[in-house]
Amino acid sequence: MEHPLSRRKALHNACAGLAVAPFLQGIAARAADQSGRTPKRFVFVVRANGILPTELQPQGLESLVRPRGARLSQKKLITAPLKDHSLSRGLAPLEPWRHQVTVLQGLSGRMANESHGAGYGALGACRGAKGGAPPTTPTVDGLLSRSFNTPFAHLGLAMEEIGPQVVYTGLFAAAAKKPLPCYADPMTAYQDLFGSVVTDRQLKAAAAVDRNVLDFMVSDINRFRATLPGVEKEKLEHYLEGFRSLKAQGEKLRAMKKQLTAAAPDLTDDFRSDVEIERLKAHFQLATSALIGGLTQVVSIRADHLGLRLTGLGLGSKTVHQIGHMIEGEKGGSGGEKFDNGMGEFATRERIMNFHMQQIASMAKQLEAVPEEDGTMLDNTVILYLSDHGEKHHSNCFEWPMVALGTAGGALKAGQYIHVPGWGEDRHNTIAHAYVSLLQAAGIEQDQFGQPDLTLPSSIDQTGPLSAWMS
Amino acid sequence: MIKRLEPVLIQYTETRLGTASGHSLTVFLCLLAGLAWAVHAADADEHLQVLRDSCAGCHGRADPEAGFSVTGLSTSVAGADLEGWQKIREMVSLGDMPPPDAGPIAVEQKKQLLKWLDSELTAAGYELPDLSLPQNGNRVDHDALFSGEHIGPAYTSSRLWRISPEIYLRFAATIDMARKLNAPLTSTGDHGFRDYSYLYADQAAIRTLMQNCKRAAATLVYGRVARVKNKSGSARRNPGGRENSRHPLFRSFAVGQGPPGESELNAVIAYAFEFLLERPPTKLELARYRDEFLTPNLELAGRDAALTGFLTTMMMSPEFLFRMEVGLGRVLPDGRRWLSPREVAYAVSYTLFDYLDAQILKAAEEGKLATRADVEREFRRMLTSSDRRVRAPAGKNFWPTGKGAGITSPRLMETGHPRLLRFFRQYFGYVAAPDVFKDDSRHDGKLNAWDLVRDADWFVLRALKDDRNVLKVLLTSDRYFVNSRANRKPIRENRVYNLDGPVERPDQGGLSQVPIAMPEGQRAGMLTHPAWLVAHSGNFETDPVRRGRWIREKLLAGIVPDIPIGVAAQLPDEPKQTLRQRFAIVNRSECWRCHRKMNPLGNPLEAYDDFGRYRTDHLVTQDDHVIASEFEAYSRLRKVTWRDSHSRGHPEEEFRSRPVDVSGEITGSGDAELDGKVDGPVQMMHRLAASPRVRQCFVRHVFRFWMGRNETLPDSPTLIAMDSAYVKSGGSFQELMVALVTSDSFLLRK
Repeated sequence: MEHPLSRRKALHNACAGLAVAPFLQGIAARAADQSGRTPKRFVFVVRANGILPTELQPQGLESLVRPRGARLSQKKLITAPLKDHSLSRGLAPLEPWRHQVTVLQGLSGRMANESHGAGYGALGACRGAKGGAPPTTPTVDGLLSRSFNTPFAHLGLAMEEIGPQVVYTGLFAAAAKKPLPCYADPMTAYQDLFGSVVTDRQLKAAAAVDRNVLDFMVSDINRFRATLPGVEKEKLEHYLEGFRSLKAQGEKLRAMKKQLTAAAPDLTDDFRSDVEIERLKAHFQLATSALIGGLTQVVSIRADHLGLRLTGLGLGSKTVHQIGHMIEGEKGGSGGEKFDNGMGEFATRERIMNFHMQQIASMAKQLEAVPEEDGTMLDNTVILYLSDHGEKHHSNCFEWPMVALGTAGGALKAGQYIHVPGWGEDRHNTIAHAYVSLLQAAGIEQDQFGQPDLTLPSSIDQTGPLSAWMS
Repeated sequence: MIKRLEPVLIQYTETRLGTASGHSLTVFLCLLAGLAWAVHAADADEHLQVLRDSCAGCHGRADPEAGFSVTGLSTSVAGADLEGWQKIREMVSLGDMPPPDAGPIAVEQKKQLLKWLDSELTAAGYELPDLSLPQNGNRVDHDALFSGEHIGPAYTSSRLWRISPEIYLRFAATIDMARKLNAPLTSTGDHGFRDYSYLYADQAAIRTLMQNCKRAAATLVYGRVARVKNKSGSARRNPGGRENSRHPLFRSFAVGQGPPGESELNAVIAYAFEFLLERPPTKLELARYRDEFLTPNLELAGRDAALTGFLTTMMMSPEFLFRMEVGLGRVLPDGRRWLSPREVAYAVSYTLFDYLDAQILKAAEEGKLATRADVEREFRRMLTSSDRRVRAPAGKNFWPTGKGAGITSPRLMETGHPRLLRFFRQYFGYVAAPDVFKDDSRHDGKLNAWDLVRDADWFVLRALKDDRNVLKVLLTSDRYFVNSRANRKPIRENRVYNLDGPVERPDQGGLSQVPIAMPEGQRAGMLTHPAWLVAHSGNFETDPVRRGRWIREKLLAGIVPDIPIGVAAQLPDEPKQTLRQRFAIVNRSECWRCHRKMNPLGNPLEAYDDFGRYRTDHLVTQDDHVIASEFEAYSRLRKVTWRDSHSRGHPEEEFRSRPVDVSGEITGSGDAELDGKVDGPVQMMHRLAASPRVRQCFVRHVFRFWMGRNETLPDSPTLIAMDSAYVKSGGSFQELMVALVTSDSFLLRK
């Protein structure tokens, strides 16, 4: 730990006024990044149903997009500073950080096109895996997580019905055939992340039993190993090694006790709630606390999925999929079906996005409260919000609207609207360009990501970053 | 060689000449060393002479082929020419050199040469290929395996074999978990079979395993997550609630009050052992789990948490996660040991099922699984029936190769033997068809790869059900199942199979369906099945290299080295040429060395486009560009659907055609009857299917899949027994399996 106490104290003072005060020592991640550089943090929030281009469009620029995957034959790159334009109503909670926001329109992701969601393709810019097939390449979050040395290289959190503790979402992958797991149950995540510093008696006991299980396993396997011939001993050695490293991780976490105690979120009712959006709140809080506590630098959150009912948002018993079919202004689906109170598709989408943005805003606020280097933790973070499926519910992925908050330590330009030339046009950009930007912002010298869109004319260069986004 | 002599010499001199003076010892050593050198040089000269005789014609001093000369090689293998000697070893051992037109090295000479090279190269620090790795299976000499000169003794090393993902998932289903568990025990990459016994559970898997165990423990104790209807009537999982606990003992232990007595502890441990490991605990185990785990954790965290922890340790134990094949049975005079009856019960059960067969375990416990005849009796019983009560759970999620790929009803399997089908899926590799991306714009929805996979599954299952000439049927039959997924519906058309109009369904569909004859002269077995063809194709084109390689490795037991580092395999971008014409580039000698093993075998399959549709002509645009497939001609280039296109006139109006060249050649197969030119896929497949070499190669793959390891020369008697059982029974796959399961390789350990 190279951080002088005085700095910690300064942090404390700086943030003393906030209700979230205890997590002030946002220093662990700095220590974890052994290179000594200021750590950069990447948060991905992925939702289902596609995001309509209009949902993100800043006020005053509405004429540039149509609601339904416009495919306007946009020939040229358009950029506009956001200081002149208010954010869309869905993005309104981000207004205080408008100078940090980037709205990305016109990117395509044809290589990932699959019906109803691109799976690993969304963050992998690769062929979307269908039907639970394993990933074929790492996704951008998985790739980023490889270059950081934190106790949790990647933290996945996923909205799911009550029940499972850990799920594979089919969205995030560390490498080919290596899907990344996500915590679905906030309590399980809480115990794994902050279990070493909990004060709740019952949780403490459960954590102690977990430790005992590991100890018992190590002795059990050792005992068994002694009875085996040579080669087979080695095989068990690997198995044993896995337990040892889990134990070591536990010890590492216990050594971080101070900063984890400071960063640990309050165990509110949200963590055990049976209301979906309350658990989502808990997920966001976990993500924020984990970043501040230095447990991880890469977080991926699946905010919903098509089979889920978003209870708590006043959307009745409709699943996310059913909401996707309340298509307004176009034939097909349930053709403009509305809720009893008259709320149609656009209003419903706005309500959902608004809720997601409130969570992102809360995260931004907390990160901003932690000074780091000459600025705050938020300055070294980028939060990317997108759908796992292009520009509408039944997308063909000719467009893939996204919005980002943060500059990743000044590597990315913010406070602007970027609309790249349409699919097939000269100098068109795909989602792969955007992901290369993120990789380069993290200091990963990579020029290419995922698989190219083979249907694009060969005159379009599919390598390199999204230059309009790079500072 | 000198190096290896030294320790022996020193040992000898120390024991025998311990009293001799230092001087005379040195002289003696020098003399011996000189002698050794002379022997070595004589060896080297002899082998060099062989190389000169066979190779110097092309690899002589002046302008040698591939820039490689054998005449200037130093006789010291470990010296400056080490790399050259390595090359020679690889070429000669793979049979790549001398080429067919140069006349072979005599068998005995080759054997001696390789033996000498192996020992010299090993001494020089060169690592010989590891014959236990899946990709090196074919390096074991095929002729030697089936010559009968090797008589064993066959055995398998004592081993632990990590349970397969399927066994793990099935366990989850057995305990009635509401959702499937994540199977963290993922297997090897794409190279052949996926479940080899050398695999282990890695570190990343353990965290997931631990999480799984907690969930599984909750299910064991309190039952599955309860479902309740919500207001709109659709099922919803009850938050927090669980129902239908199947293990009242666990439940009452968890919710009981006060500290449990010793008898209660013993009862719960014994019950867990019986349920999870299918055996009672030993006294030692009982005491350990009771005193070292349960008691301290009960004090620490109470009944519920202690029980969960205990069940976790049980489900993480090596015995639960590994198949034990140590060989705990009786010992033979030569040191080999039988699997104990209990080990046999597991091993035999897992040849067919993903669970332990209750009856064979009973036989083991009753002492009725002690002889080969016992094993055969039990195995035959299992082949013809399976316990319906412990049937694999129906449901697409159970089949781990992907949604929709599976046979949703295990009834289809007749006897419910999932591992039989799994072998054929992995051997032929057709199950990869959906992984090959074909852009919609190229086929206008004509391709549904999952449907093709399922059709191919039916094709395999039918052959297994008939159990006559199984391999021949799979390699030559032109009767396929089409649209097998569509239950009871008439087959409208399926253009991938060249069924271009409506076809009457000869059956009611569903489980009773029978295969349909394909248009005459177009198909022959699995390698001409669209599922296989798509699985072995590229995104835009066919892939004669991969297809040829498959035939070389899986049917001819040959080896094709991986593409050399530094070679950018790139075909010229020449739209006016067919793929085959573009492949002319590999005729250059440095490419041809490997490609001659693949392209001539893959070329006849050019009779099908990359969607698996049969063709006699390439379609060519007016400006002479070759179109990869007929589908593409319709859907992409004309921008109309197939159906529309017919009403708008025949494509010939717009496209010209050029005949497809389907000639090919089987070379270097090791079977003189087999080698020779072929003029099309049907002829090639029939010739392959008639070859004993192909049949034996198939037997080798069966051995690998079920033994979880490569075959070795001492396994020769097992392989020969399998082969002859198959031949004698008129091609019964079941008889072949019986021969394997009752063999020394299967039953003995050392």
